[in-house]
Amino acid sequence: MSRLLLMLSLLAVAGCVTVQPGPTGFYWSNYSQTLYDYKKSPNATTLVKHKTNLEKIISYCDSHPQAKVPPGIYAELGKIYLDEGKQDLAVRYFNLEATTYPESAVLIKTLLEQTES
Amino acid sequence: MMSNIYKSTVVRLRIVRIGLVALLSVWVSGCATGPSGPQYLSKQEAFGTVYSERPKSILVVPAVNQSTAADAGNYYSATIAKPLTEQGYYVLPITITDQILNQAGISDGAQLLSVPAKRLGELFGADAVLYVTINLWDTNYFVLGGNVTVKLEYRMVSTTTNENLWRYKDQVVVDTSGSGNNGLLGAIIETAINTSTQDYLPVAHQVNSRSIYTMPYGLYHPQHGQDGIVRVVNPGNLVTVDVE
Repeated sequence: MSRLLLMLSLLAVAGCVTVQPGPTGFYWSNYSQTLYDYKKSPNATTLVKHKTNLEKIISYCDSHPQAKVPPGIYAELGKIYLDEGKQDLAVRYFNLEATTYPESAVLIKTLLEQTES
Repeated sequence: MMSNIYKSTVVRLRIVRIGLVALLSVWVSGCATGPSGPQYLSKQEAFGTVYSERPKSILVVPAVNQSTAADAGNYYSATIAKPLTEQGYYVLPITITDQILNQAGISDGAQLLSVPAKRLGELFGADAVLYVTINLWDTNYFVLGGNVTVKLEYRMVSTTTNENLWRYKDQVVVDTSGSGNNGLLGAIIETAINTSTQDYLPVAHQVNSRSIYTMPYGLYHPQHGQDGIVRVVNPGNLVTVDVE
């Protein structure tokens, strides 16, 4: 019975994973899922899964020229690095967000100030 | 006595027949006018200020959750960025903006209703703020089926004028019954899984996508500025009056 439940839930999860980019070319992988899991129960395991997913989105886009890193992904990863105490990586990803999306300028300025202090 | 029963049966049958004809005509007319029918408004007619103001970036703030589902806000915020960016907008990273608001003591959207959008725009550098009220998130569970009814009301406000740029409400009912291929017991188990422990992310994503779809395309969409004539706005879903 529990095995059946597990199989069914695995199927349900697999059904949710959509990877096809729309006309904008943004590649989201299963961002909503790992983000929701982290929001639902914030702990080291769910955070690592979400972080790995963000890194995966970026590496996928780096190797697929038609895929674009969606708004906010670089910044979100940078913030996780900052919380881990990896300031250099944080600054690098905050700057990537700012150069990719100039609309982020004000927020990135705030984040860089936080990083320096 | 007999004739009375006969008469009432005839009357009843007639009522049923009239009802069937009415139903059929509704069904047929429903088919004749598709989603591009004349009753739908164009994006330009419904949301003209978006075309003149051309907002590029959106700050998504925490939901005002009036439903009985404590988790509804999380479902909303985990699934809203994707459809907004697909529509062509720069969405400020919600996890970060939520954290910053949290540090200021704000974790519920209701706390923000008294803050002018303009002020939020200055703090975060956003052209528009997206508010949402979750009116309903109801799960119904039957023996052999189930569904989720979700009702949301969105409001995108300009941070330069504090005016509404786009307002929309929608209600969807999503069937969470199993596929029914596993016999009676299988169907019962499947329904139980789908309705009680199911992850509602696909439901939330569907609800958000359906409404955001009516928003004029933003800068990052290849058809930015060219979709004004597209008739996808259901006038019944427009919000024109504030309900206090």
